[in-house]
This record gives sequence, structure tokens and C-alpha cells, in this order.
Amino acid sequence: MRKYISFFKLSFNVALQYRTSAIAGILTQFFWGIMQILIYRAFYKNGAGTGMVLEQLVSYIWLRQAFYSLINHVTDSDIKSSIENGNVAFELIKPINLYWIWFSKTSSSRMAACLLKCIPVILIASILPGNINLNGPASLGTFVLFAVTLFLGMFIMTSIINLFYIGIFYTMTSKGTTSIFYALLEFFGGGFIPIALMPKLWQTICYLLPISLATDLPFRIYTGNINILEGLKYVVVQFIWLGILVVLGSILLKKIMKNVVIQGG
Amino acid sequence: MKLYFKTVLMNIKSQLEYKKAFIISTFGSFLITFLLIIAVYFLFLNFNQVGDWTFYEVAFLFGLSYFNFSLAEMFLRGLDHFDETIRNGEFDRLMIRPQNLLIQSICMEFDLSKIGRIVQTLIVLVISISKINIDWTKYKILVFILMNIGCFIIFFAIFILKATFCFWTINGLEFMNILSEGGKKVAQYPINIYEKWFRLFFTYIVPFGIVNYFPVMYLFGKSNNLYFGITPIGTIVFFVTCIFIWEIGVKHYESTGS
Repeated sequence: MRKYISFFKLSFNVALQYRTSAIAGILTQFFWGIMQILIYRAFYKNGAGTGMVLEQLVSYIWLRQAFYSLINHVTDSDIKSSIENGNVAFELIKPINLYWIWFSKTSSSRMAACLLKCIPVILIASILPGNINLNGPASLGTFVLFAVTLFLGMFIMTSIINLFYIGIFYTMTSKGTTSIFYALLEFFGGGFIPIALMPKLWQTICYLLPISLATDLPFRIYTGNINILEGLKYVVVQFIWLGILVVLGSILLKKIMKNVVIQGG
Repeated sequence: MKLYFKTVLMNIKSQLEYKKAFIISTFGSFLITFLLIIAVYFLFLNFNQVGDWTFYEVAFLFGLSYFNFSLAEMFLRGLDHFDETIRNGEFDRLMIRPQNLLIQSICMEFDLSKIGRIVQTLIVLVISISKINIDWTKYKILVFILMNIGCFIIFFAIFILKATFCFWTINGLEFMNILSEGGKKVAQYPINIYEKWFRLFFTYIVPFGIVNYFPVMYLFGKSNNLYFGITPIGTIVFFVTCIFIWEIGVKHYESTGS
């Protein structure tokens, strides 16, 4: 366990180094937030749509922006190229499990990036004028549940991304597949439009997939779109999915490792 | 110009060498814009219209914006990835050649896989035009062409601006995506649905309004003001300004060494 924690610390510190990028990231996140809110506001002017009221949607958008680095689909280019160019062999020599190296690297750089970005975004978004501000949580209970589901969601996203890395062993290249992966994850995770605003059938599909547990569920709990009791049920669902994804990833990776051929030297 | 096409041809040939990778990335770029327009369609299923704009009218603007953006992405990839050119010192090599620096930088790369996105957005554009009642006249055809050229010019200028930014710092380039990625997204809706301050910024500073809202008002017969049709010409001012800033940037450039 200690080994993985030190991997975690290392990536965490590296990510903290990029302060300029973080500031640029915050500004970008802000712009996206405001733009989306302005678009949805224009839609809501014609009368309310079904699924979510505007105040909920505004908070939903801000939270997604604030915690974007925690639950996004972005894959690590170092890990990808290490598989493509064979450097991953160096990791394989070490007496540690590759799956958990990736897992701790991915989750730690996410937390570090999020730590830098989320607080300023939340602070400023809360004090914005003109009904485009982030509202507080309904109760302490909702907030705790939000935090729990957000963390579990991040681990679910990490395990999905791990499956993508494992896929590179088969395809040998991540160019192209990365953009397909991105498109599907964004769409079914409610990144293009919030799932609650989709037609019923598509909502059902999205909620059956594990992606929404990371990118949609925590924020709907915070905004009160899902009540606490129902939210607690979803925590159980999150644990089950996390288990399935981690076991699946570990088994697949082990299978590949038996057949992996290291070329050259 | 001849030089540009020659490098483009070479780039295309080299990309076609890897067939499988090429097909996958083309499909990937097709899929993204396809799912994006589906998402817009979902919104209209839920809300019927935005302001007094219908789905096909917005789809037209979506097509216009994304089509020209994808064209810019394909042809001007070198500017989009300019930070790499600076980082690996490649730019110094360009400087010693007796050719225009901007053209050389553009020639650095050409991304054929964006063809997937171009085809997809073109389909959106064609379908939406066929679904909207437009009384086509010669002037309106001219307006339509002007809109496309104007839109491309804006993205071209933004890409130049983005590249120029690299002369000062290659960190935090994400910020410039506000103009490129953000502008593309802003221009997929008629500018008049936004709040006033936002609208003014995207009309007078970054002039998406003049290739989007004004000409489209005339094109769709929502306004009879003939002058609305030729507003895209104004994008030249923005373009020239960006070239000017580029020139300042080149003077400011200090090599990264190595």
C-alpha cells in the first residue's frame, strides 16, 4: 500500500507545479460556465423544460466546472505513450501491480488539479450577480452525500480510464481511439447536455451506464434533483460498479501480461 | 501558395500510409460533431425553440461555425500546434529560411483526419438549408458565401492569435481555447440570444456577430436590410489586427535555445 501512496504523492506534487496552467484553466472553466448558463437561460425563457429547473441547472453547471478536473475523461499522455513505445516494460520489472500504479497516478493528478481549481471557481461562482450564481447545498446531509459520491465517482472514472489504457495494448495506438472514447464519454456522461434534459429513453440508457455515476450523479444530489434516500441507493450502485470495473480491468490486464512481447532492448 | 500545396500533398500521403489509424481518427472526428448536433436536437425536443429560432435555423449556424472551424483545423493545424514548434526549437529553423514565417508555420502540419468532421458538418449544413424556406436570389447566394469566408477568416485570425501567444508563454495555452473552441460554440447559436455584454464582446471584439446574426437575419428573410448581408466583410479588420499582433510577437521572440 505504501508504494502506491508514494506514487500518489509524486504525481500530486508534479501536478501542483503547473500554476500558470491552473490559472488559465480556471479562467477557461469560468468562460465555459458562463457561456453554457447564458445558452440555457435563453432556452428556459420560452418556458420551463422538463427534467430540471433553471436554478438547479445553474448550480449543476458550476459544480461540473469546478470539479471538472476530478471527473473528466482526459487520459494521461505519458501513460499512453509508455504503452505505445514500450516504456511500460520498465514498470513491469518493478515488483508492483501495474493496474494500481496507473490507478494511483491517475487519481492523484486529478485530485491535485482539482485542488488548485475548485476553490476559486466555487468562491467566485457563489458571489456572481444576476441569478447565475452557485447556490449552497440544501442541507448538511446533501453535502456529505455529494462529497462521498463525488469521490466514488472519481474512482469509477479512473477505473474506466484504466480500461482504456488496457485497450491500447490491443490497438497499439491511441490516436483516434482517444477521440472516440472522448465523444462517447462526454455524450453519455451528460457533457454535451445534462442527462436530465435528454429524452426519456436516452436518460435510461445513460443512467444504466457507469459514466453518469461519476459525471452526473454527485451534482444532481447537490442541487436536490435527487433526494437523499434515493442518493443513498446510488452509493451502493457506485460501489458495485467500482468493484466490477476494477476486477474486470485487473483480470484483463493480467491476461494481456501473459502474452505481452517486449520488442528490442 | 504553390509551396503550401506541395507540403500539404506530402502530409496527406504520409498520413494515408497508416490506413487503420487514419480511418479510426476520421471516424472519431465524425462522431464528436455528430453527437454534438444530436445533443442540440435533444434540447429542441425539450424546449421547442430558443428565442424565435427553430432547430433547423440553429443547425444551420452550427453547421456554419463547425464546418469552417474544421476547415481551419485541417488546413491550419501548424498554427494550432504552434507551441510544439516553439518548444522544440523548430521555429529557429524556419527563421533562417527566405520565406514568410506565417506561411511556413502553417505548412508545418496538415491534419487530414478532420475530413470526418468536415463531411459531417457539411451534411448538417445541407440538411438544414433544405429544411428552411430561403428565397434564394443571386445576392443571397453571395451572402451565404461571404458568411462562410468571413467565418473561416475569424477562425484563421484566432489561430494566428493563439500561435502568437506562444511567443510569450507556452504555459496556459488553454486560455486561448476560449476564443477558438469557445468562439465555435458561441457562434452555433444566434448571437442575440445572449446577454448584452456577452453579445457586444462577440460582435465588436471577436466579430462572430457579423458572420452569424446579421447576415443570417437577412438570409432567412427576418430582416430586409441589404447591408446586413455584407457585414462579414468586416472580419478583414479583425484579421489584419491579428496579423499585426503576430508581427509584434515575431519581433519579441527569443529562442528557447538548444
